[in-house]
Amino acid sequence: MQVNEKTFLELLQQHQGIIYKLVLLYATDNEEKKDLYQEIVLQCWKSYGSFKHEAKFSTWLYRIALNTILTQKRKETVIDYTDSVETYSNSLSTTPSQAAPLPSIPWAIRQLAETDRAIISMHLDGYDHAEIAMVLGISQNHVAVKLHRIKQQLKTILKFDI
Amino acid sequence: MNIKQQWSQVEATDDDLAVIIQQGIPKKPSKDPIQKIKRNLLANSIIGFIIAIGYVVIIVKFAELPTFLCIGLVLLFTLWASVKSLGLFVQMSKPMLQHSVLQQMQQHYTSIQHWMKIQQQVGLFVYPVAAAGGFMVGGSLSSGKSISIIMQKPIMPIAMVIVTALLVPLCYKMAKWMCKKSFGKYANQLKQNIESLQSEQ
Repeated sequence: MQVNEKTFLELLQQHQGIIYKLVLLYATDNEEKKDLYQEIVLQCWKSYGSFKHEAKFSTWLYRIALNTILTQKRKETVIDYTDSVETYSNSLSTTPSQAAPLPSIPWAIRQLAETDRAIISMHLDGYDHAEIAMVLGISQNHVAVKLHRIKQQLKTILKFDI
Repeated sequence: MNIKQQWSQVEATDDDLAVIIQQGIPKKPSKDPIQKIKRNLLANSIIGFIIAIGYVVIIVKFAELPTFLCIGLVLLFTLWASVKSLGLFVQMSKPMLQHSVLQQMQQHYTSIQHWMKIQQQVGLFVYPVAAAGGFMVGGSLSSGKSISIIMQKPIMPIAMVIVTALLVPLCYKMAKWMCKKSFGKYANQLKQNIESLQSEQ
């Protein structure tokens, strides 16, 4: 293994949580999860030579991963993961003991439009509006407006204030 | 617990995925649709240039005006399509992953539209004229007579015009259908995501 491939893989392993979470939000089944992950790693490796270390590696990784995911030919059927946390169910009861189990955050985010998933995941990972705008190629104002709308949607899906 | 806290607790490990890079960078070819189109463009260009050489041989062998006109026209269109395909291949080979997400999706969408346009133009111009030329050459070879003699029979030019008139819309529609079948859904997916990202709603 060449030295720079080793360095790249070490860096990737340090930040692999980014890819795992993104793949969790976009892949419809385990097979697509593996395909997406492989494709992201391949594209990152191809682009690694042009990574100038001007930006954080994590920001660069986020951009490559999102570029790869959103330009892949993906399956249409949305299948919920069998290893999700509780399934979401409507309940008319208001007593805590009879309250419906809380839906999982990844499940809720998967109900959003594909580009909205990118915005909310970056926001939840601590990126500010400027960084999100730079990665996605839209204005900061635009990010703020969309984030507000996304939070309203998640509030409706999750039935608690975020 | 707020949503950020819950998100930070989402499992950021995956044993199935971790094994993938244990042996290094995956060696499987990319499944990127743009890579498939690029391979298709390069193959089209190379095959186009080879076929153009074949057309030159036919023109020299069947040195008659109808053949020269028909096959000569096909040769020009084939060269044009090959050069266009090569041009698009070179354009698509420029590094794209330095773009923002929106730029990347727009670049992919534009590339696919260009590729589909080339295929439809080839369907419109090259295939029908090639078929007409083949019609004449085939008739000459099977009858053992020259193309000029065959084409003197009144029925032959009429048949050739009818065949060409049928083939032009048919080949165009076939090329359009094949493009939609291959990349139509993907192009729509890209378009929806582009509009979604650009929309203020």
